[in-house]
Amino acid sequence: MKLTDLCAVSAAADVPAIRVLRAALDVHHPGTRLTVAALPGARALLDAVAGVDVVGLTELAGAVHGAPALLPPPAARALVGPLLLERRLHEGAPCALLVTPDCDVRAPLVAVEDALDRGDVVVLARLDGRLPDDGERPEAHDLLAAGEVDDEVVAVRAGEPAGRCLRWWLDETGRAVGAAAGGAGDGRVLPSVLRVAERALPGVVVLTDAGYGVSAWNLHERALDEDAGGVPRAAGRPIALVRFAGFRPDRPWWLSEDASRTPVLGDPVLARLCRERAGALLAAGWSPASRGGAGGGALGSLLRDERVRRLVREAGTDFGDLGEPDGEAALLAWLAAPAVAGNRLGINRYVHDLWRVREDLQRAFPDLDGADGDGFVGWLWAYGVGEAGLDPRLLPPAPG
Amino acid sequence: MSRRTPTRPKLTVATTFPVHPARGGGQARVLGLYGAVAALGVDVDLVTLGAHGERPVTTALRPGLREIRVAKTAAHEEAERALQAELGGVPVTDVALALFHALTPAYAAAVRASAADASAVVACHPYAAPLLLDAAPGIPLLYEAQDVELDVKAGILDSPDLLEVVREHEALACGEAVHVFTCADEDARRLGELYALPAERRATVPNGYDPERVRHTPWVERAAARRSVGLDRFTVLFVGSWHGPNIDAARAVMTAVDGLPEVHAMVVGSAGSALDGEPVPANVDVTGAVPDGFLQAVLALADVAVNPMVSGSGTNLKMLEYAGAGVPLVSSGFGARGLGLVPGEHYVAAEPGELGAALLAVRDEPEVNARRAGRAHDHVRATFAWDRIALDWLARAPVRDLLGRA
Repeated sequence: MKLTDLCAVSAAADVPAIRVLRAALDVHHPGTRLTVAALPGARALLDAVAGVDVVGLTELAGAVHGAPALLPPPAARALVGPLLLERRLHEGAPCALLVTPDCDVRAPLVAVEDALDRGDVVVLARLDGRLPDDGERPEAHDLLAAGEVDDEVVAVRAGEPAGRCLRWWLDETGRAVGAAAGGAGDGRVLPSVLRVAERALPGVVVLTDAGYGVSAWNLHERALDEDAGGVPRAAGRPIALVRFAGFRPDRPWWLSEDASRTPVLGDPVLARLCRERAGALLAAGWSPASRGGAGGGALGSLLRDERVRRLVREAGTDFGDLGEPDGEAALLAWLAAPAVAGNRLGINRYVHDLWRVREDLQRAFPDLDGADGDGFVGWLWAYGVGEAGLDPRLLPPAPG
Repeated sequence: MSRRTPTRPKLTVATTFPVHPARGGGQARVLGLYGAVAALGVDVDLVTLGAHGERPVTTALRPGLREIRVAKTAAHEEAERALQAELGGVPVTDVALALFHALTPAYAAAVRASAADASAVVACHPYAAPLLLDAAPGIPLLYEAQDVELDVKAGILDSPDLLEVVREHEALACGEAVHVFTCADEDARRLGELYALPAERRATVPNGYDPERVRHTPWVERAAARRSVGLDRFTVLFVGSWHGPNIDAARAVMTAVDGLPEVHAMVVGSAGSALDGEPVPANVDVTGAVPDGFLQAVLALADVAVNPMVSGSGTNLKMLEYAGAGVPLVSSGFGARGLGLVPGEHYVAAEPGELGAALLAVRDEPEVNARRAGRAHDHVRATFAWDRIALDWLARAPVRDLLGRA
């Protein structure tokens, strides 16, 4: 089945990658329609990209749990993907492939087209075997959070089975979003909805071609080389689709901010893939959107939070060397210490400071020691991680 | 079940912190020294203490070296947290082990099980010394003094009672150990003063670097690595964790390269996170804390590594890693102290105010600096590689007699 439609969800920072994606499609799938849902702040930038149909979040059918525009970004992304696919099929597309802006399309996606001849919904597994227990990332918790199946790269063929699967996917995702908003669960959108779909619904197939979905999840099990013509291969298969999630073109020696297992230097094929990806993104206008870490020690992400850095400066406490375990433990313990209000519920310095600096939270939850404490804790779990970038390790216990 | 073979002697080392992956100097020392000892024929068990809730694991870190990690119990962690709160948030994990180890009986049990067939036991820091004496009676005790704890804690702990606990443990370790080894000569002398520790029972085992982890990348390969990923800019590297002297040095790097668009600087490590609220020049990439693989990659790519530190204590381990990796060095005199590095011969000397000019000079003389980097590498490889340091240590009495079959 000929691939005619691709869909993606884009934030403003992703727009250079959307340009690269459009250019790759022009080479490998000329004439393919690319529909991109614009997350808040991306619309004007995307409108300027030739060859892209832009859809605003409010244009998508917010049939589940309100309009996606009103949801925290992770929940919005989770809902918008299947909504886009559903929309394109509803508009008459014979099939559609959802991708992410970090997808590097390096060859015609023939295996996806072939799989759509066999199944109604085509998904990719993140890896084929096991994650090594080597202390490197991604590790078990990453897989638990992300899910075994990559639900950001999914192809569907028009018809009742795909429609049923999409509706189920949307319902389950919407239910998870709703549960999170209500304070249940740990605030994450449920991953692996599609893994369950593969087991439970007819017509769902897993694409097993090693040249697809090449990423930090699976490079330990897919050796790279080049064929006689210089075409890069993974586990002997020509590479068609690489996921560069977490890749920064200004740091082309490092595959992903969310991974540490696979070194780029010393692997000429991976170095080439990274070099070419970095060059394409830089030529498309990429620039450092923010200065951040590379996924290092336990404090890495915390210390990227200006609020935490301010707290450290204001603490008047010598935590010692924060690169040392003692210093790290001291800071975490200090942040987790009971706050001046709400400590009955486990409200600590870290989350109380957020309440202190946000008037909207103070208005919504004025009495943390009284009737509003539970509501604030519920808000932290439902929205704090996605909206305020809170570290889940430092949240109070979730409401029962 | 013991894994000791009849032909290999064994050390059981007790620490108050997990050691893998190493993110700080203390962890790097434990892994480097004992990893090299293991490679020289001595089995080493590192019995370490992790946070409550961590999975207790035994990890084979390299042949002959394993970490047996025990998680603190909730009661232990709570007692430690309460003590820390009393002290205004000062970290007390190490002293808390001395006070509360009975709340985590699995720790002593792990020491006991490991030490059953050990040739000697090592207290890494003094806090586990009494526990080792109890759990491994009759087995010779060695004391690895990474610092003079009484002096260090006197500057941190505002509690005479706790300082007395520190003094008692350090005195016990110095009194009972058949061999006390420190990172620096002055620490050995100081322990001698404080606890009447005679010279024949003490030795200096300096800090080093691991050539297996920090791979030497000669100039030609360095250039090839840069080309392989499309880097064509002159890259300056500074590495430092969030610690006052490092933060000052990171600021000096940013000041030096501001207005030098031909230079791209990387500030790697948590020191950079302390600066994120400050203006950062466009040609500076502040990474924050990074995985070790990221650091090793940057060490293999950088054109020059800098160390404009002007204060702090101990030797600068970053200099060993810079030199071991083969990166040309620009350092203040303070930053290079204690390592036997000679300005001009091994590194370009530049104080913080001279750093910008020094970087441009290095950029313009790549061959000269490649040769200088080669000499610096040869020097630290011969003097500060853990395998050399471990070999020297194992040759000392009484270590030689205890582990003589290594």
